[in-house]
Amino acid sequence: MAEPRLQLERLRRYEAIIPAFRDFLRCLTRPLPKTVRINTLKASLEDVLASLEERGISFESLGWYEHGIKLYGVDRPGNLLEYFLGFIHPQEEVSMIPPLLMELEPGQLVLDLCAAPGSKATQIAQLLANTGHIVANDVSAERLKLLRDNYERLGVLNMGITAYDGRKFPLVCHFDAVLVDAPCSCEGVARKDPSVLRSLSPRLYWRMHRLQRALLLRAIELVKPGGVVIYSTCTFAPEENELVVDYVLKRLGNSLEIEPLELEGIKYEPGLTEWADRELEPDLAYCARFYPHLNDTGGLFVAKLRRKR
Amino acid sequence: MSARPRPLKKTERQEIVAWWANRFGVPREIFEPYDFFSTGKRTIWALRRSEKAPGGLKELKYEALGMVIMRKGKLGWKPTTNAIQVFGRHAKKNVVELNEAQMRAFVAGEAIKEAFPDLEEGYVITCYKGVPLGCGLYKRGVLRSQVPKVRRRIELI
Repeated sequence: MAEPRLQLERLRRYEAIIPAFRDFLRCLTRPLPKTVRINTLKASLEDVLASLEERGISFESLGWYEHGIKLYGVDRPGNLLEYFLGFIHPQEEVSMIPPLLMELEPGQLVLDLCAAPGSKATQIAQLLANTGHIVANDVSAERLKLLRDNYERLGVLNMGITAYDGRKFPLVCHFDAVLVDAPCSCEGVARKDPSVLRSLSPRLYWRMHRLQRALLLRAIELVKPGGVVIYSTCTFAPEENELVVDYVLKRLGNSLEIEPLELEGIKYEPGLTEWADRELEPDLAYCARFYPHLNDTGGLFVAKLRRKR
Repeated sequence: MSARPRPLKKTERQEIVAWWANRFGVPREIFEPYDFFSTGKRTIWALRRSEKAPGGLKELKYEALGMVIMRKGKLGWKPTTNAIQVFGRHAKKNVVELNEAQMRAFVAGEAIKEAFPDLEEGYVITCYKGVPLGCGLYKRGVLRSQVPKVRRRIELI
């Protein structure tokens, strides 16, 4: 078909920044592996793996994350008995990364500012072992319904849902950690939904940029001094990634630090320190770009920020 | 959700805990770590208690707080399938173990025609290989699945 090829042309702007660019483009035409997260709020890892094995479902561990597995020969993981029981949650491999960078511990107070449909929010609940309190916020009422279906099925009991515009989330307390998994142009989702490529334009990148930087600024006000804010998107566009973080770093100067990720067993590229003749903060190299062809996944950008005071 | 969740009064809370103890033999202390809320008079929510909850949960406008564990209907209190999957493992009575064919029918939302002598009529907990599946309604030798439509699976793998 001619059309998908034409749409991949829209990613040509990344030829200079994405290594093995032809492999990258080729990877985008292949379907995504089926990955699921084992939800330890309702059963132990060992019991779920034993159940899958006993029922003849073949799978492989993700290696870098013990609670992530890749399923083989299962088209719809949502039809598995383990899904019905809330023992597993279908979640793209790189989407399991941001919650793991939040330095979470049981008992904490956590905000997920753009939470629906809730894969990362329910993973946060798992990392808190159903203790403490998570505020899962999303501006879309329709998407909040999906979030509720998911967290109730997964046996999450430490979560409340709010429906604020994230840019104006009320400042009534400080959170131990905040996740901003921002709305974006979704280029990294192209393997699952090629139609995302159709709507790409500089206008979209910059419209998203303005929304994203407002969300990130609010998140930094909402986290306690010393607390971690994770900023992530599923797009490759520097306007929505490094340029957002660069803006916030320049604006907040000394009160904010960007930190390298501590993550092993999965490949990624450093963040950009220049784009389209713009010099960016050198520390932006600490950001991480996960390209689909590096690990056979979707796409992800992530930055780990710490509020200093 | 239409109304904002309101914390249950002590007597209301006791009624809920007593219901789970009487109907299913779930020990009362199982619910100790949770606060209960209601929306309207018919829906009860359970939320893990935390000192860290913002402003005692009063300052944010919550659309939902924790999990809906039961609703009041024509037959009195009805536990949700989601709550049974969490708290049902502590149940000691009105629990029924299903075989594989029955489990598939239950997950698909169907009725199972069979007399289960150990069950009292009313809402019961179904299990498969000892794991709670969800809520059934047992009456006159028929066990009707109460799994909500969005949770049902016809082509279960």
